[in-house]
Amino acid sequence: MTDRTEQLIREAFAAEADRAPDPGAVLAGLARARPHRRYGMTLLAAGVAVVAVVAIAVAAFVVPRALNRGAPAAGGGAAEEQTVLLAGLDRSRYTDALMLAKVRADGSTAVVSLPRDSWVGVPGHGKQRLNLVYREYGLPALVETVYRLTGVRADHYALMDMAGFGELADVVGGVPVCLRAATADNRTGASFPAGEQTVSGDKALAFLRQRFGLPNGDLDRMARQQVFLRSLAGLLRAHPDTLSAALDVVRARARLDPKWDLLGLAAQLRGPGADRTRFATVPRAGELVDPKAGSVLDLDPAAVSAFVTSVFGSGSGAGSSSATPDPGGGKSTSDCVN
Amino acid sequence: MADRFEAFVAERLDRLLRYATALTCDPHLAQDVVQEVLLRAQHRWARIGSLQAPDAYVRRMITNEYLSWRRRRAARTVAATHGTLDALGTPVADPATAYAERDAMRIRIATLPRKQRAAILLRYYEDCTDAEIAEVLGCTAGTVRSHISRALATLRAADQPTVREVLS
Repeated sequence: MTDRTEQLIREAFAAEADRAPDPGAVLAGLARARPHRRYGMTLLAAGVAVVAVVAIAVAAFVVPRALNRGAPAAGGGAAEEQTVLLAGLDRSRYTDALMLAKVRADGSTAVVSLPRDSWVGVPGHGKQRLNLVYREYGLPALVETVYRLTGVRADHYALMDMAGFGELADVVGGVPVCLRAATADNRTGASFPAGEQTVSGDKALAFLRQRFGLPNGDLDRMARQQVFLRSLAGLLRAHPDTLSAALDVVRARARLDPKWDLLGLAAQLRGPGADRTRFATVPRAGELVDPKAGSVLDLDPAAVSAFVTSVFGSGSGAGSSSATPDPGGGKSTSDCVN
Repeated sequence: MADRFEAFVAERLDRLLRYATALTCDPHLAQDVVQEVLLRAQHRWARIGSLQAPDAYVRRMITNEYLSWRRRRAARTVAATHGTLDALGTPVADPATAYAERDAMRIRIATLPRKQRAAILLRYYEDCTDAEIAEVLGCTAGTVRSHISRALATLRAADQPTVREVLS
């Protein structure tokens, strides 16, 4: 009797502790509270952090710049492949954007978007909508869930408030994007004209978050996130003078894996493949309706895992097997999306 | 000096946050408490860092911060407790009995008086001795034993309502 109760108490405390907030949030809080004492981050390492957060894609351009401008990196040691889970969080801590990235030894990266409505198995919690896993069960559960789905257990993570992307767009003076057709989101009131345009601040945030009023909903949104990041990366690359302001945004908005060797990543991102980033979206099996959760996306873990393996495994120059709604090919930053 | 504080944070932060979350039953409050404590610890790191067990000292700071925090913000605490119950009640999607039992226990723990909760946390999560718990809570070992036996009596009560009954 007593033993059973004590056992339950231990289990209950362990479960409670599993809800612990992300350490990065506290680190960011400490950094904010002591702006004059940079908290455990040199400018250089923070520069790497930008990259990480802005989907590695950005990093691939920013970091080499930061390294060239500053002191030489400690570098050394063979670069190792690493995988990173990247999440954009909305105000309620739902993951609005979720990507799994792989940085190869040569510095090239592959980024795979995971749809927010994916119906996924969460260890110990049955099937759930992917975007609430982090909020309800915490980061370790999210990492495990993504592992179950993709066969890849992320080595590191980077989380950023979605608002940070709007601020980064401000830093570079707006991010050019292109829409195939005018859109209006009845829920948020956000509307965009067709054609090329530059988004920043709240407008950029709305651009990244809109999924109502689009032909393919969240799938179109992921395509938007991908072209936005590519475009943002290009601008940061072209204007290294914006780096320090970008770092400020990251410091305030991002939570990074404290165990991440950012200097090592920086060195890696100087590799010959550093300017090659590939985006893709995992294949879906179809839609299904759960009595409680409503309409969700059915995924076949075997197919997803095979897809991720092929995207992560193939060289960065390989052809695009992206399942993203086809933007009409081409790699320029002016790819038009829905 | 600063380096050693940062090394301490890098090594211990995750564990401190887990402890604080189990203590407060509220991840947001845990984050605030830990952040507040670390800011103060950083100021005084010359002294704390030279202690034999800095982590035990910081854990004690966290515990006391929480106990006084709740005293200072009684109004907020009520809301936080309700929020906690809601949060605990939400993930009942998994009907497995084992989880239902565990979650029922979480709710009972969350409603314990704060010192009792701290005492059983230190006993069953941190595996502290009575003397160590007394040190953290600033009371005698006898008082610790009293806290723990009262808490256990509450938690062991087999006729406690289940999770769903509490929430319905």
